[in-house]
Amino acid sequence: MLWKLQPIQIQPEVIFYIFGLPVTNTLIGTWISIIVLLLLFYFGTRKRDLIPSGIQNALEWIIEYLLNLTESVAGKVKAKKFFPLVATFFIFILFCNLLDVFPGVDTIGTVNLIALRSAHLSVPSTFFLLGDYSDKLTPWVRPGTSDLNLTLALALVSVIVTQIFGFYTLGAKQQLSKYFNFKALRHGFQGPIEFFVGLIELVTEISRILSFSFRLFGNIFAGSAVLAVFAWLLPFVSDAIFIPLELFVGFVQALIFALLTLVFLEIGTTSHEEVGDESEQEALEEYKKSEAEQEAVAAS
Amino acid sequence: MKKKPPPSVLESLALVGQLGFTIAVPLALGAFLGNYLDGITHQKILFLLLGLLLGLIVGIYGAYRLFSRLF
Repeated sequence: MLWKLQPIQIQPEVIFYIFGLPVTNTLIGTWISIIVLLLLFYFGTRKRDLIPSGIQNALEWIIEYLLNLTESVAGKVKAKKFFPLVATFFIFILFCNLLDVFPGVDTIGTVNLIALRSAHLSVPSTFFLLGDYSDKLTPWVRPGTSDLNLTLALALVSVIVTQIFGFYTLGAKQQLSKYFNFKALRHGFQGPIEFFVGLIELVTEISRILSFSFRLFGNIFAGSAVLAVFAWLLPFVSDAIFIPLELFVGFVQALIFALLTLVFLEIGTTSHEEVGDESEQEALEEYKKSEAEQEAVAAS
Repeated sequence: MKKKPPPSVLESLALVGQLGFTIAVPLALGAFLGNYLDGITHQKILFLLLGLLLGLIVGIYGAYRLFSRLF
């Protein structure tokens, strides 16, 4: 057989140690994304022309597009507060995801000596691993978001920042009463139900950490697995179909993560009472208006 | 009532992507918690069923909260 399917494993491989701390291949992938982003934005915005061109133009287009998106969801005032976090999420996750389709990622690395020994093979003499050697590779770089640790960290940041913004805009008392609604217990029959709804809200907050981290991890990890499997099943041909698909998935997942963070920030900084009062007042105004119209119709 | 402007295509896409997880994750959490409690208290499936029921309630409420913002 010319080549074998690479073993697909969830946990990242440790490449080397710095002062006893393991450095995995997904961590190297994350560093590469960070360095590329830093260089791109440093050199793109170093010489700021009034009429942008080249890289500066592209970067300004990205930022403006994201700003418009943020404003369309959160309104102009809140968008200024939320924009830095949301835009950083989008751009960072996008660059991590796009590493998936670069040549060399998942395919360049060192020979796994332990696997070689257990298969009773000698050390290969060429740079290309073919035949029995082809599945004995430890890749140096894997996309950062195909590691659950990174996505869990991002999800934790997203949820905790939502809480902080909630405390900041609503105040500690109102924010806590969202989850522990002791005031509602005095309302008689409906009270316990309202209190229970507050606890449910707390559970949904916690379950969001899981849903955010597992969605991003699952999509990108499955994406790289699909690329690996189809490169083995149908080499050269399948890449034409699956690499564009992975580009699309990487973009959509980055966008979903950033947009959902934004939506939950918007929900988290809007108080229950505010919404209720506003819609009640609007309904009252609507009612008065329709009454006046009916009177006008009756009078004519 | 004043109608809110309809959400953009991208925002709708993100919300639909979250909907499944909003329902599924509390359900799974409830099932795991119930199973764990069953093991401790030597019940057969009492806490598993209770956990599933609670998870379902949480999931449906979460889905309602997620989309109630739009209407």
